Parts: sequence; structure tokens; C-alpha cells
Amino acid sequence: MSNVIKSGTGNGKLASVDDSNRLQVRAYSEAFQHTIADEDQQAYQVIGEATLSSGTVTPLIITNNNADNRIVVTYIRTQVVGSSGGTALPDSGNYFSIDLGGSYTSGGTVATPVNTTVSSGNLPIVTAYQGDPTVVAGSTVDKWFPVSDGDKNSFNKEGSIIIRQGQSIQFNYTGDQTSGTVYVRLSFVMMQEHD
Amino acid sequence: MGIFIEDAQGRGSSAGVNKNNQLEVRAEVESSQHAISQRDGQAYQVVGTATLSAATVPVLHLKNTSSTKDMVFTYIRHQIVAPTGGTAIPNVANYVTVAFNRTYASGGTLTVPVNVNRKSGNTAEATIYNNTPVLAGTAVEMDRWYTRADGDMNVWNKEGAVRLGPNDTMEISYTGDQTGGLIYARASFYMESNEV
Repeated sequence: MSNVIKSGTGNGKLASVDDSNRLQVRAYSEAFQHTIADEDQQAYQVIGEATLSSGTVTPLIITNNNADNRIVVTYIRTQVVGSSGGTALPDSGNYFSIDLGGSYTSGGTVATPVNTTVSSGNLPIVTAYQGDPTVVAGSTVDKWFPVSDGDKNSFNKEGSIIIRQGQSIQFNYTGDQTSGTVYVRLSFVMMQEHD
Repeated sequence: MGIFIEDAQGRGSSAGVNKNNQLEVRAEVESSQHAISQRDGQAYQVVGTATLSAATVPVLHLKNTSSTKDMVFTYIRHQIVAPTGGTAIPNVANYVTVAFNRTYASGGTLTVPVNVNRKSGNTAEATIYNNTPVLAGTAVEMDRWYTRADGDMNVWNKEGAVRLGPNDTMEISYTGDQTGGLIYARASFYMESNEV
């Protein structure tokens, strides 16, 4: 026995199936970070900075403290500004990197994520530090070499990076510049473990 | 006989069909790499570097060692930093390629992809070398990028179109006449069942 799908709006229309056996639909699509911001109010941004110095500095580290929700990374953006005192950019010894699996040790200043659904009172159960805290390095999953002072880069992670309870993502700048600033902005959503 | 698709939340609404006989739906869009990372814990990234020399320099060589999963690529990014000693770039002899089919012979540095779903204990069923491994066979080139300047970067968004089946290989290589400098490459991929 077969059925047809009737319109519930009273216009008398029936849904069709094409020659390739596909039900014909019209979808209003939206980015999942928008859906989460809209329906769950669990989309956030957090920013961090660190003063460049010879060696490795950490503009931001964020750790998930929530057993029920995971950090899902959508976008990362970084910029290097006012760099001086080291090798002229670009240089193979001067780069921004993303580490997974490291941890926070001490120092820095607390960075508070901002809920991008402005009226929401939700806060993520995470801890974030900016301003070059002491950290334990993790596994590097990406590097980017700035081409010049002021250079920026965006990483569209599309939610592929997932940070669960007790895990961290950190951002580092390694190089020989003796002054300047590295800036990083992280966009993420908190999604329930069973979603 | 027809059916209405009714809301299960008790709101009394039912799905509409428009004048083109299309069922009206609202879809939340997730990227495939997010879905695989979340559902299967099988999304990975791997990075590699190599020093430029006047030759073809593989920076990453990737082989799918799984018999049950395909290796599916979402993004590839590379950057050339501080090239020296060769023809000023851009020029037609200095470029980065993505190619299939060559096999690992020797050298390079074995590198382990990082699972980007932290707490997933999965490891990628792949063998990957960076840092100028020696490769054998004939490369089947599928893309090329001519480096424009020192520090130049390119991102290939492959959207999962590039798939390596069991024992298939892919390489990211620099070809040119520079004698110093660095090539960096990062590949984002996921492992997905190859059951039909």
C-alpha cells in the first residue's frame, strides 16, 4: 500500500518523487552554529592576546570542564601586529600553531567567552586563559606562517575539532620577535554529548 | 489516499507542500567532517614540513592502510616560507602539486595524524611520512599551485571529493629550483566506511 504526502496548508498540493526516486523537498538551510545560537543559545566567542617574545607564547588556552557538553570549534582567527626585533617575516622560525591535548599550568589572565546570542544568560562551563599562561604543549594540528606585520588568517574548522571534558585547545606563537602582539579569536558552540 | 505529516509536539501544524510539489523542510547543515568527528571519532589532521631544494620535494605522503575504510580529504593547506637561491617567484618552474599513486620507498619522517575529536581513542589507519620521503613510481597529478611570493599560502577545499581507497596513496610536493626555505602542508581528512 502506498501513500502520498499532502500539504498541510490547505493548498491541495502533493509531494512528488522524481525519476531518480528522490522525494522533492525545498529546504531552508542554516549553519549549525546559527541553529545552536538560535535554539540553544550556546554559541560563543572568546579572544586572547599575548606579547611576542623570543620563544613560544600562548595567547589563549581553553579547557572544557563540562561532562555533558562538548566544545565544537567552528572558526579560529589570528593576527600578528607590531612585530619587531626578530627575523624579517615571513620566516620559517616564526609561526602561529594550534595544539590539542595540552593543558594549563598557571599564570595568564582569565578570558571569559561571550555568548553571541546577546540576550542569553548561558555561559559555557569552560576555563580560558589569555596573556601567555604557562601551559603544557599538546599535539600540533596546524601551523601558519605570517607573511608580514599585521597579517591574519582564518581557520574554518566546520565543527571538526571537538573538545570534551578535561581536554584543551591552545594557540601558540613561536618565533624570535621581541615585541608586538599575537591576537586570536575562537568561535565555538557547546553541544550536548548525545546530540 | 494521502497522509499529512503532523507535528509530534502537539502544536497542530503539519508539513506543507509548495506549488512545485516540494515538501517544505528546514535543514540544519552540518559539514561532513563535523558529523564524522562527532559520530565516529574518525576526523584527523596531519602536518608536515620539508626543506626546499632544486628538485621535487614531497612534504607529505599519505597511504590508506585500512581495508574497510576510505580516507576522505576535506581540506589541504600549504605554505612556502623563505625560498632562496632559485628563480624569483612567481615563475612556471616553482609550484606545489597534489598527486596520486607514488609509493613510499625510504627516508622521510613517520608522522602520526592527530584525532581532532579529543577523547576519541581512534587512530587513523594510515601511514604518513613528512620531510622529503623518497617515493617510487609515477605521480598522477591532480592539482598544481604556482607560488606567488615568499610566505604564499593556498587552501584547497576538497569537500570530501578526494577519496583514497585501501592502499591508495597521495602526496603533496614542491617542485622548483629554490635551494633554501621551507614548505609546510596540513591535510584534514576523515576515515569512512567503504561499504557500498
